[in-house]
Amino acid sequence: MIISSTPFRISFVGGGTDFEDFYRRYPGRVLSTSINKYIYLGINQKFDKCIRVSYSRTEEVETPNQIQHPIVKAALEEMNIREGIEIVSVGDIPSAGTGLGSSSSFTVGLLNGLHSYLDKYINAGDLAEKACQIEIQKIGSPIGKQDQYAAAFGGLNVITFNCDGKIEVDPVYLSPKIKEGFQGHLMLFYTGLQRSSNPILSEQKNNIDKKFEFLKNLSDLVPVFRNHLEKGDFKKLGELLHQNWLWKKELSSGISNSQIEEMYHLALEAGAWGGKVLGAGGGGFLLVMSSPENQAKIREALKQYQLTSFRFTEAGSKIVFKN
Amino acid sequence: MEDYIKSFLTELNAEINKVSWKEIAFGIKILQTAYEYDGKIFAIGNGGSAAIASHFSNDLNKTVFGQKGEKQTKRFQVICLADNTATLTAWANDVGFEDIFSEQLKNFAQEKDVLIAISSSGNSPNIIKAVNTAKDLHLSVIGMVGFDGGQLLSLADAKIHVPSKKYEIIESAHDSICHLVTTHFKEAIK
Repeated sequence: MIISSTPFRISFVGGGTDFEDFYRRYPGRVLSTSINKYIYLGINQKFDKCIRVSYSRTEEVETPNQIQHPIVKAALEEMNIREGIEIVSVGDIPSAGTGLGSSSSFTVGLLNGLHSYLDKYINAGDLAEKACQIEIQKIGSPIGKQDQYAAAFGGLNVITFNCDGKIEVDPVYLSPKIKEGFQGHLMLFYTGLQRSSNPILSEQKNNIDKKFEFLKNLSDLVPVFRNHLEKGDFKKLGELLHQNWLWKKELSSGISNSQIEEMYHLALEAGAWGGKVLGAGGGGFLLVMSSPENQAKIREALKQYQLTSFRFTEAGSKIVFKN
Repeated sequence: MEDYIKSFLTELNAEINKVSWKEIAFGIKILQTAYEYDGKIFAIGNGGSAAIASHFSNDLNKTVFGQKGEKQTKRFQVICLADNTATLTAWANDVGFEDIFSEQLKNFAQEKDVLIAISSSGNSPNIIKAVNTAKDLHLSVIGMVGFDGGQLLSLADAKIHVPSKKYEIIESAHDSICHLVTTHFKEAIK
């Protein structure tokens, strides 16, 4: 029996610049952190030769090509596992459409677990790249590469997507005081909307030419954000998040909607400096940045939405149990 | 005498300032990762470095959470492999001195664990053997070295290098860096 644990992530600035169609022309950058919300993948040899996969539904099949879950199917094919395996997934938050990078966390955690199942070791860089291959090349999901790297490496990082295709993960080291301060200025509200990111991201992917200047601005915002973060200039960070959100909304029509606009407006009225919808947009979680003094007012203004507590973490995907 | 004393302190200060802050920060990240997943941390060294390994183990296991006492249920899990005389002498006597740390690692180590290897020369055979075992088991390695760093400098993931040629300076600097890391976790872990 093997259990892998893989974190979800919060992305602050630069989302959308991790698409290959963009970063082949101009370096893409994102600044994100893993958080203490995890997906766990349990993997075990099955007594009979069948395959059982359990997530929001349960599949019991005889061969990998009968599996409906596209990631599990592709991963088993990739790893050349044909029979006699049981895979169970359990997550700390709803598994899809939350904007916390959960589908890539799932892929990374599954691949990590399957390597361990076959007594193979894979390092974080190879794990992230293999997850990208499965999700982007094999399945054809219209997604970028930031989530796979965030899940495999863990921690607060600037991830750079270079024009030659090389991807670099550069940790942002913060003193305990600034790290605690940054977390203390953030709140995460659940919109209650679960959406499929694919239509939003497909449009965004097709828009890359048209929105090239916005994407360049988003990428260039990352070093500026990092600089202010290292200094602990929280008000400025809130303003940069706001700017990031205004540009991000330009990328695709579904990123915001009337409910999200209303929530964001209420937060600003109650004293927030800025924020953003995490991930592709259209639903999931809304991140709000404000002074700690205004948090009670913002909570009150958004009281109908579930507030979710979280902490930044350092660890990427790990095998936490093996026997 | 004043000059004599001050020259040591000045030299120590100069050498400790040559250590890369990013490598120390990376070492902290590796330890934090182990903490989050309840990974074990092993510390090894010979002579003065064995004492540093033992001292640092105590600081991570107890000092970091000292004031919180029993309330702190999640803790570092550090094992100093230089502390158990019976096991050390058993391996040394029956198999060889080179194996004293490497063989102990094989009892406990798992993929998510960390090895802190302290060796001023960076070349002590029993340290290098343990680091190679740790690499085979896919542990992260924090190396604390002096002189030119020796083999350990290239093998370690986090490379904490005090480039002095004097043992007293190197070991003093290693101890100070361990205390810096202890102070960090005292503040960072809530």
